[in-house]
Amino acid sequence: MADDTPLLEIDDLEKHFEQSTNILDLLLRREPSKIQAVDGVSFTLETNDSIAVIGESGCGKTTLLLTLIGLHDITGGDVVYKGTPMSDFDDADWKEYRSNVQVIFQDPFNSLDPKMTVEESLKEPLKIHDVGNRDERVYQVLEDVELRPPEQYLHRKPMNLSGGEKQRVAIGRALVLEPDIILADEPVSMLDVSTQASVLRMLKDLIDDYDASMIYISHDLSTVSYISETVNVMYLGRIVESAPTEWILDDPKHPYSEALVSAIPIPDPHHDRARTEMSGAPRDPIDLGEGCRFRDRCPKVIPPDGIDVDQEAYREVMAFREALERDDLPLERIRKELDDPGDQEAFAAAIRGEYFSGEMTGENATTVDAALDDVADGDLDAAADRLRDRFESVCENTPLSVEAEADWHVACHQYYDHDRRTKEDHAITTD
Amino acid sequence: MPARDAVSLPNTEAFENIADHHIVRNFVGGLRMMLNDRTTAAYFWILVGITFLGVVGPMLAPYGIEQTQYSETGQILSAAPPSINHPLGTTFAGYDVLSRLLVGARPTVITGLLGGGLILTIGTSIGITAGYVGGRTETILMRFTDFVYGVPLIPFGIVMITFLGVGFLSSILVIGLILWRGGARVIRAQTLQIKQYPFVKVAKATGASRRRIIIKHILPNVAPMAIFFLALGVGYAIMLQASLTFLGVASPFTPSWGVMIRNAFNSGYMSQAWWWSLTPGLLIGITVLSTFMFGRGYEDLITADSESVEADTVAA
Repeated sequence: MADDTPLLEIDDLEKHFEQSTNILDLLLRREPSKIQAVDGVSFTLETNDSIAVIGESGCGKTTLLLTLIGLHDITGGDVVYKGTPMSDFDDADWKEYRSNVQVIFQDPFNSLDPKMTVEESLKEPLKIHDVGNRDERVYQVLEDVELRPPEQYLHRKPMNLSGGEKQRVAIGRALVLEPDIILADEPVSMLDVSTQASVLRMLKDLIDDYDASMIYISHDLSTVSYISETVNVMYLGRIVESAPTEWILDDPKHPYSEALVSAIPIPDPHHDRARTEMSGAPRDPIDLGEGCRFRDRCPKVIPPDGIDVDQEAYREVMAFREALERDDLPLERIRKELDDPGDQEAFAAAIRGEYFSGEMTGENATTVDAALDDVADGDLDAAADRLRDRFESVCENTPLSVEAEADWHVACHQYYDHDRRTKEDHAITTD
Repeated sequence: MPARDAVSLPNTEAFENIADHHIVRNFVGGLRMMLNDRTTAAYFWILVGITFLGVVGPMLAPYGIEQTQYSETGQILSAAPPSINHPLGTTFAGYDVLSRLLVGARPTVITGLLGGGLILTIGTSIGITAGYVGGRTETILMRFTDFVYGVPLIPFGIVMITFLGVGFLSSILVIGLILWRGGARVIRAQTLQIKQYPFVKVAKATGASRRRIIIKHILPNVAPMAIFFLALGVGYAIMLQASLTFLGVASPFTPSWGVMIRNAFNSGYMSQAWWWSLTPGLLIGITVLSTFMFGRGYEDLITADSESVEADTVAA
């Protein structure tokens, strides 16, 4: 293999699911809405590398993993293994890929077949790929995952193993074929804290011993520094920040990473630190559109030039605009809760109460009030236009990735250098 | 393992391999757990006893089944009450009821095993295929199952038998061709569930073929449920065959217990010669009850065993 071919190259990978359509959608010829679980993810895994993907639940990290092992079909972009793109794989390539890329799942309690003994579970990959010397290999791998003496474990069933032991067997099964790449999906998050550290340390050592590379997926930033040199922070299907682990832990650049890092628990009750405020929950990853995906929750969302607005009030406007443009406002419910459903003024006030907490002044307040009246009158488009005219943020045009420093990519407009690139060329900077 | 390799007798080796095979091992293991429960064990042994009767019954019969019995005075013993020579009495035609019962055990056992086996085979195949393959295959198979659900059993049996001809085996065939429907639905549901478990995903990611996943992962994990349906199927098959026989659409020449009840009914002596129809009726009842209760014992067992994959489905 040529030296400069990376082991695994993920190139603008995209996995969209179509939301199920009903007969009405079919009749009206509506476009099915897309769930953008993974959307434009790119990174490269070199030999003996260990890369982490971090994000909260629902951000698409497990979908990314299932797409990487080929259990989901790719809907865009590609995965290139040793120079061969997955879209060009033939049967032999798949067989090679399947023997060289192994997976460890989160849930040790269900990742072993309850009807099979440890020996059978470990032998299965060897049988599938017709590898000889099975008894010795299984024995060796059991030693490696610290289930000693192996004789004691060979004939046990998962029922008679503890959670940690099960996960060790699962790790053993992933290693028994001596793969190039291990994909680990939160391998320790369901274990007791006391077992987590030892399993994690063992996993790290074994990856080195077996000369494998790893993609480590987790929601827990605190474990990542044990395992990976590089971290990709994922939010709503996209990678928002990518840099060496130490850098991100010390000085996170993206406001979302900042919030994640500040949420790592510190076991000292007297420790005082500034926590990043983050409001709301992630949107559903449906029809997300362009720009920064964190903008409706971001404490640092950038107001347009020439507008004097309080940061918190601006974030509220952004969240409201987001819901408005996506037609997500719970108008029916708000109207039902009114004493007099016909009272337009009260209706506008109730919507305001739902989305805005602070007071705004001057032109800002006038625009918001006018927009709320439009919404109350049912003219959502006019309201959206009115708000966009005044409040459109540069964050709505943030490119997929900005190189803030060498090896440090952040999808945030704060680091976007307007002198070097113009807004229009952001499509080319997606690398 | 070197120790085992040292045992060079090929026969023991083969035997050990069979005993070691995970399907056999799981089956034996499961059975052993079930027999720990005393009630279940009792029903199990009743079933074993009836199967035993099915094998040796005809040899134990003191008289031939169509051998007319005479009293000492030379009269035909027509519908005679139980006596020392004929502990269960005689029929209207003077046949010995006990002998007929013993001989009739065999067709009953054959009905149960063949009918139950047919139900199990069709139901499991359709259920697993639909559940695992999914897509259009699943739609077609499950809509077909729904269709079969709409077929009324006894009228269908009567119509089918007019095509296939009245006979013992054709009545079993008709039963099997209908009653797989319940098993297919439940086993599909279970397959859908097992398919989602990480161990199946890992196997797929490692490159296991569809065949391998079905045989090594899906089948062993639905097997307990399949055995449950086998037990129910055996019971239903026996009961239905008795019903079909009673209605006169199964062969009256195979001396099953159902035929005995029918003959008693047709003779018009049912109320006087109670011993004639009571014993076969009781035996059918006990057999069917035992199969159902054995199945139920299994259900309790897997619901209690939280480690088992199928616990959630049955509990739900």
